Amino acid sequence: MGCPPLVMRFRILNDKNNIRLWIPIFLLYPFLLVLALVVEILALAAFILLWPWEWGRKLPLFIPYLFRVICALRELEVDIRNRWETFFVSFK
Amino acid sequence: MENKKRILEMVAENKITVDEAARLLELVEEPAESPSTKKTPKYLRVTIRPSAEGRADAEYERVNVRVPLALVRAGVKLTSLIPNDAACKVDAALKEKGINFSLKNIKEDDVEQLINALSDLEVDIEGGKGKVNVFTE
Repeated sequence: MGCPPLVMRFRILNDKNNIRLWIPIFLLYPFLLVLALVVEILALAAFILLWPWEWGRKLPLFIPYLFRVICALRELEVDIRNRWETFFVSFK
Repeated sequence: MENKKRILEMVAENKITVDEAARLLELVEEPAESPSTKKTPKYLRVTIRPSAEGRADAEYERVNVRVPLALVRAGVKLTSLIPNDAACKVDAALKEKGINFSLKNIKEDDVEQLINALSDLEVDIEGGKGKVNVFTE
């Protein structure tokens, strides 16, 4: 598992929109970390309450698995374009 | 090393010619590609390029998608957390669309096997409207 993506590039160009974004998503990570800790504590509480159900036992795994998905987003690139429209998303 | 020695000895004993020895030495030096040395693919790439025949705007059109295979692995792990009820609803919705596929049947080992098998995958479809390439890298 590598590190999460640091930057997201997003582009939508057509006759109505001209959106070109370069989003430094690493700036969001401190907030997401705090949020993840809160959610994890709630998940642990739910884990204790929902222990009899199989799904309840898996709840605390949600944040680590989600983090894995976010990390795996790095290097994802979608580039779809024609003469009039462009859709581009990339995580670096 | 032992093989090389034996080939040289056979040349010295005039059992084989120099050319034959050279060919044998080449074979000995070439490392056999074993499954362990095979590179695991990191990305799945899908590219679509329209054919330029009679169309001036064809050069502007393209689809280029690169999906890290780690995302597939992570996604499969995440699906294991989907509650049974929700998974059944997803399966039913997929069935309605004609896709007979169950989320619960996806196992991590199967995905790993699939990813390994993808390393040999290369799909090239060339038609009148364009070219589609699906491959791993």
